[in-house]
Amino acid sequence: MTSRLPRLVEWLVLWLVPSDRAVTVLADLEADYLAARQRGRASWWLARETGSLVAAYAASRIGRLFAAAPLWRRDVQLVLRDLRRGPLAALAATAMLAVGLFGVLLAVALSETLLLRQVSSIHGSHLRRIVAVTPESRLASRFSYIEWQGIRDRVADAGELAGVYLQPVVLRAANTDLQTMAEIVDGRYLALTGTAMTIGRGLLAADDRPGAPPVVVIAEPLWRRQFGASPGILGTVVRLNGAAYTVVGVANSLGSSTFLGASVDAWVPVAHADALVDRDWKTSIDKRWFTLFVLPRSGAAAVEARLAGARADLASIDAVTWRDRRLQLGDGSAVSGSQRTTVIMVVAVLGALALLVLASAASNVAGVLLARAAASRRAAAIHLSIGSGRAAIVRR
Amino acid sequence: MAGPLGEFEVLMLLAVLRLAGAASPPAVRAEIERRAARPVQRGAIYVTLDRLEQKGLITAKVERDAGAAGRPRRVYRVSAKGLRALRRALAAVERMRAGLEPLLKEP
Repeated sequence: MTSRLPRLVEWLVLWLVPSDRAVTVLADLEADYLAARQRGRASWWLARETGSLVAAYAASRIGRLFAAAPLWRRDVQLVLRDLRRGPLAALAATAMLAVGLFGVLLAVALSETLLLRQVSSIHGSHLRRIVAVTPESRLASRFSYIEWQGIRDRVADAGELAGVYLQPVVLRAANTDLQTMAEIVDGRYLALTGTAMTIGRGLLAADDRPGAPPVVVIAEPLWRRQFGASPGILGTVVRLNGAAYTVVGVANSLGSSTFLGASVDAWVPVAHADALVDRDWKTSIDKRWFTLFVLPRSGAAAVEARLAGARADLASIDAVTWRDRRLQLGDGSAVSGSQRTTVIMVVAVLGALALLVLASAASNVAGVLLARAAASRRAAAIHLSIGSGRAAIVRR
Repeated sequence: MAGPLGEFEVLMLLAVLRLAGAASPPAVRAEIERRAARPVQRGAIYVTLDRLEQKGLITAKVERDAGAAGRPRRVYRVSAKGLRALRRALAAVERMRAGLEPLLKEP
């Protein structure tokens, strides 16, 4: 039968309504639907009417299932009666299961928050990572400074681009050397990621220009640990790998990084990264260290179109690398590419295992309750056989 | 003998009776909504008609729509058993109502 109803509606009706009635139910629904379409708002009407049919027939099916299985019903009644008499054990078991289920949900939520968190707290999934896809479908998310500039020239009018590079440094403050991690970032990076400042200011585009005074933003944990949370930190000079940087702000980021598992104590503009990285970092196309993020201005498609042009530009500079690679937008979370797939798989497997254990525990509890109910049935039968009245058995 | 009828079942049987040979589910629904002035869910109509049919209170026949599409439609009639059950239900209501007219009269 061909009908003018959506396939999903047809499928639901054919699945739920008994087969000898489904055709007429569908015919009625179709006739009313065509009338509703002429009146307008037919989608909403159809959703409501289908929902009503599905709910009514689903309830009817469940009811028939119970009616067809009186033993189940009797067992459920016995279990409920047993629970009313001695609810403590059952409540404890149910509470344990609820705690377990809550634990699983919490673990999944934490994984989602910690492992799959978006890099930007203000732009969320709108901030996208730029990745290169190799002919083997592997994702490469690191670019050299030269490649970054080439991509920026193409993408600048379609989105806001920022780069970041995680680098170990020696930070000298208050006559103490500290081995820590710094992020070398584009001047707009902290604004794009929505990093809030505890005191002072974040990095600005003006800080990331040649000739600008070298400045640094430090993380709040470092500020508290090394500087006693002194407001006088602003304007203080700290040394990174021996080079002097003036502290202009303290980031309220609890040392979180773009990169999973890294704890960052300082953010330095790219223009002043010479002291922190190899000398040829700006000129060597093989020094692929920077991770690039872009915030599209008017949709991802415009950026992706420009990325195709950027790839052609890069192929003219480094044909060996870029001949078969292409650029695309990836997820803007801390974990990306194959790492992200692995994390999702591990979380899914662990979650499934935990649910399996919980299901096993739940079936054990149900088994115990049914066994108690069966014992109760047996006891009732014995009482009846030795002449006990029904009222006495009910009171038992 | 079928068990006592619910209020909605009584309304359904009355609607099927009123519609005589044209009691298709949409018509029954429209009749109840018009006369009883209450909204009726599509699902409730079909499931209740199925239940009444299973109880033997109504009978069903599949007919072709007179329109160009010639759609199949299920048309219901109240059976003799259904008529007896309906009389009993209405009589019970009548007996319960008797003597309460002053209280039940619209102000």
